[in-house]
Amino acid sequence: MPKVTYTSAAGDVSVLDGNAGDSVMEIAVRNGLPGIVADCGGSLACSTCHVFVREEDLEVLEPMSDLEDEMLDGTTEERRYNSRLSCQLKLEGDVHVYVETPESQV
Amino acid sequence: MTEQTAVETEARTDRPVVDFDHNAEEHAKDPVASYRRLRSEGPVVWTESWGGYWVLSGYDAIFDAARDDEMFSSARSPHGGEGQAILIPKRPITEHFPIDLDPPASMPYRRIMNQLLTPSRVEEMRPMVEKYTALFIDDIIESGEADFATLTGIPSIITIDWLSLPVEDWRRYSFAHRKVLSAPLGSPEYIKVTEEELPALTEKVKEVIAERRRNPGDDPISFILGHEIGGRPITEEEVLNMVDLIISGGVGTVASLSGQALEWLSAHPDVRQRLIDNPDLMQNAVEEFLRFFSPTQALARTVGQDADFHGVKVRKGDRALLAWSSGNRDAAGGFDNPDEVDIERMPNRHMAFGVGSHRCAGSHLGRLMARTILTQVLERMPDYKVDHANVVRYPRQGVNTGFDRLPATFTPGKRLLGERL
Ligand code: HEM
Ligand code: FES
Repeated sequence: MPKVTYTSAAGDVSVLDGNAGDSVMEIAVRNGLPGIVADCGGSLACSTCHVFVREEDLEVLEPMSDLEDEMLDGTTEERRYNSRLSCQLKLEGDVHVYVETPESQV
Repeated sequence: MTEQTAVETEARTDRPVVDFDHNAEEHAKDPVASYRRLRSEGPVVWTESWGGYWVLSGYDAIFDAARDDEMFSSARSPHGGEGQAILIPKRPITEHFPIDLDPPASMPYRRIMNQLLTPSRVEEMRPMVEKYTALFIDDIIESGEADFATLTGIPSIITIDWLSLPVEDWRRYSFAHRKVLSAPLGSPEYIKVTEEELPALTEKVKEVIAERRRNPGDDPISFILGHEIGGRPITEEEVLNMVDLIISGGVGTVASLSGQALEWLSAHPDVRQRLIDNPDLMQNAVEEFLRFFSPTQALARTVGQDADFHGVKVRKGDRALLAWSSGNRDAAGGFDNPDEVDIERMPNRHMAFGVGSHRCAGSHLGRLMARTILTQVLERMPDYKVDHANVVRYPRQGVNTGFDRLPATFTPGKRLLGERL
């Protein structure tokens, strides 16, 4: 089962388990994690599920689509080299990924 | 033919039928109670009003439908008459892109919208938003009384100036966009606005688009004109389809949100005082006002194929109303005490901007305008009082809620700026 460690901008850490096929966004939202808003529900229409991914986890994740790349230009907190939209990060198997959530999503 | 009718009749007997019409006066009197009753009947129910439609009132059903464009299409189609498919009954107005299309056809237009309305572009608009809000308040502050229903003027003038349309027309836009929502259907005022005034304003927009094609500048219309759709230049008509959507999407909604929040704060002075003392709470408070008031109450889709959906059998061509406002009051959305305003509510996954691929493209600008209006009113008229007995709401509250009259009084203050509106 996939596992995600979320660290908020204030430094709060939550370690959450998901099911195969869940996205990093879905696991957060199902558990009521405040750092990920995900207004559009995962349709690449809001950029409010922005996360910074730990460098070594970047390559285990699905590559970024053009639309995700464009939507990352529309995040509230400026994108960085390790920015992703967490609704696009579907997890399979026993991966454990680490992400940081930005100070603000809206 | 007979056989087909028989099949349809049989399927319809499965349908949990309720007596409901989101455009009716009954519903307008108390939309919250009306949707609470529907949710108690089931998350998806059927009404025979307007040729028949499903009403999705449960959070999960609305969420799932809005996320599935194939099953719940917002594209125009022959089902349920001519016109815009996101409305029941449909309204035969200018096509609006991307909302009148499904992915993938909607995507090229949506991508342009996204780029126009990113947080950083909206941040660049902040000085303009603050200036017009201040000018608007200047206009009323010396008198000690005002009709907050005219707040429509603020998003109107901001939108018009941003789009580089003739700014002097802002009163016409403000008036027309309010009257479309508040004048009784079929009344002389309604007919004048929909058949003369709005088409006249559209003609002007067309002229501006043609002019920008010849002389591009640094403005949103020129920006849109600079794009391609599937490898060919975007047409002037397509630009109009987008600009008309921007104008009609942002004006009434922002005025409605600010007006309802001001009315509520007048009745809840303790919360108003907290916001005056802690302006940092405003951002979260606006999210809660969005959830609680849901300026866009409900929008429609057309079912794309026969399927089982949240306990009912929906059929291709059926019309369906997605009641964002009802989802926002459903505890299933993760809201504790959903009928109470909690300006510190967190998380708050409200549906006031919709859900899915058409989720509001203008949310950052909408939030900025609403936040600025509320902040400046609280700063400059901290003791304003709404005359609750004389408030007049729109006669229809099925799609847009808002006010035809929202009279208020306050201690008169001084103008801030040298210029005038
Ligand atoms: C508080 C204010 C606002 C509210 C409550 C609101 C609400 C909504 C909702 C519910 C939708 C979804 C429509 C659907 O799924 O059928 C939507 C879409 C849209 N809104 Fe807003 N809106 C607001 C402000 C604005 C502003 C200021 C603009 C423009 C600058 C705007 C432009 C749009 C556009 C272009 C779409 C269509 C997006 C698409 O089809 O992909 N809105 N809005
Ligand atoms: S949830 Fe909206 S873009 Fe990810």
